[in-house]
Amino acid sequence: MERLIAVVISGILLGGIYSLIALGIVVVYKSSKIVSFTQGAFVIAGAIMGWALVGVAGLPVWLGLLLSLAGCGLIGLAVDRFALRPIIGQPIMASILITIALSWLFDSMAILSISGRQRAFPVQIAADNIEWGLVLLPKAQLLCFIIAVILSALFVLFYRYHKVGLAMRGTSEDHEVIQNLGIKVTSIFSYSWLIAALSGGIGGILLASMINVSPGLSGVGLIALVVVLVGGMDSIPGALVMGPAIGILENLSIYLDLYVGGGSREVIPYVILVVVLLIKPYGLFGLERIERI
Amino acid sequence: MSWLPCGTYIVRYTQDMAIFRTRPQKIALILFLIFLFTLPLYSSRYIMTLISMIAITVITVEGLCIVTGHAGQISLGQAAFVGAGAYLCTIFIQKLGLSFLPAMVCAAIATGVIGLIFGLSALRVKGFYLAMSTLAAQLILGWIFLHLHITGGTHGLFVEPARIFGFEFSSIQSRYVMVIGITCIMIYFAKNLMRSRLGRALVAVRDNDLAAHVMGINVSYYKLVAFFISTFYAGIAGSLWAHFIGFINPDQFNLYDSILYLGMLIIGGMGSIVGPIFGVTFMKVLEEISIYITPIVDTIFPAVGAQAFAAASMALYASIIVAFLLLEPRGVNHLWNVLKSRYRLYPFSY
Repeated sequence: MERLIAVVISGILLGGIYSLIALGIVVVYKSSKIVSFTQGAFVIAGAIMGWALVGVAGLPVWLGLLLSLAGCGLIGLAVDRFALRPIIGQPIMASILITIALSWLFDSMAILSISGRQRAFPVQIAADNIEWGLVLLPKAQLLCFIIAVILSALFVLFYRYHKVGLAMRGTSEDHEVIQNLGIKVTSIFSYSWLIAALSGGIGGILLASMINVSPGLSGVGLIALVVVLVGGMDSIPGALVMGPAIGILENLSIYLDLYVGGGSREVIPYVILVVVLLIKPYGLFGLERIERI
Repeated sequence: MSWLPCGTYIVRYTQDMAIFRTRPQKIALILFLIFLFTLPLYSSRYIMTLISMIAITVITVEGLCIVTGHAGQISLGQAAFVGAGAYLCTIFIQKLGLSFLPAMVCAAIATGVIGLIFGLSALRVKGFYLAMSTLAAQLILGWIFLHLHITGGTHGLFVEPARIFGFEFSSIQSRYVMVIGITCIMIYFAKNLMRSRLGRALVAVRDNDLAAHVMGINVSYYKLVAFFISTFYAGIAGSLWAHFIGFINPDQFNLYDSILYLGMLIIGGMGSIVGPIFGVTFMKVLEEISIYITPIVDTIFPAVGAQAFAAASMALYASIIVAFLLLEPRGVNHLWNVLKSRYRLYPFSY
């Protein structure tokens, strides 16, 4: 029983970071209707730049992390400006394939820059465990979860009350109307990619501080995509709720391993995705599209 | 579409729909086929292997072209379906004792059914949902190949040479002819499919699904049929793959390959039958050339070791796909058509 509780709680803590990363995908989709496969690239870019600036170059922690986030933001802006702006108005196929190709490009650069090996992340938040009754939890996980939740909350407030956030919400409704209101749609796209890159980068740094820097880190981008699809592509609450839910189910799959012989953790999110697409194709919290002729 | 030579007048629909609209086209194709089938007489093992792998991949991408190029739905799981076809065909032959041709057709149909299971949800709704559910299919099927007993796990399966009417396709020459023959049949089938009501319905669904619906085309039904045919092609390609190489394991059918197939489609040009052939040939030849860059990569990144080549070639393919998407989204096929128009109308511009 204690083990079950620990598994569930650790799933929730991991899922908090999934939610943070998934927010980036939702924001990009809402404003530009592009499904971003690049999110994993931002995750690994944040982690590697943090490792390189703090661990290798020896900058102070705050400066190094700040610079690596700035680097992530720049990558996000560059992706928007040089890869996705030229294909505005082309079929969805082009945008999907271009984000996948970009993520390949970043992945291969990541492999080359860390020599394809695991690297210890220089910033360890806390090494000790928290004992709560009989449940044992790493303190670092809890702190990362709290950071992720605070950032997600800040983002929700920004999206709801700040002027740019309002403009982004307007853009998600209708591009032409918002253009007529004097808001530049392309700059809203840039803001969205900036936010996506930052959320991915922060998520990457948090994950790397728990599980080291490795080439496989960008796989989180795909899980974040599953989180977003299950929650509903255009739903921020969906991403926030489904992150922990997917985290819990992923962790619970250790019980399934007893029957199928290991490794079910890797497929559980996708099985959930197929089932959800079958029952509610627009996601659990997503807006159903109604078409008129 | 390219311009036809001066003096070619098309006055009937059947002329417009014909496969060969001019005599030189017919002669060129016949000469090319004769060249392909007589190749074993005067070429090396290396060339035959390369062309056979190109042919098998052409079947795969031709299938992808039907669902992505003609029906406009994106599939990110084609490699997994090829794998499903390969495993199913091998298992049908080894466990059920079927002979090669029935096993291949059964495996292809079974692959189509597996495809339908994943496509069923996604094809009811518009947009990129098929991409996501085929992505899931890719990862789930890959996991299944790795974890079932019957597929041999990481060790994979050894495949006996194919037998058709008692003739054993074990030498490289005979395997080459088998692969090329079946590829020609599949391409001919795809070409005719696109000239039929089904093909026109798919194009209508791609161009404007609402308008297609209003004209009486059952959109979901046609999307499902397109996806079934696409996975059927993948199944045929998988069976050939297993019997050409003689060995299958889960590593041959991963997400990387699926995306590469889409890349080949983009590079070749979507929405035509020759597009995939151009794209696959381009990428496969590039693959062969890129082997020569290995020493260069090794000297630049000495610490990375074996992964360096994989990473560098991945970056190369990614940049080529991005370049084509940004600069020439209609692919090599369009360039070829422009060239054809130029030389047909040579001294004049139109």
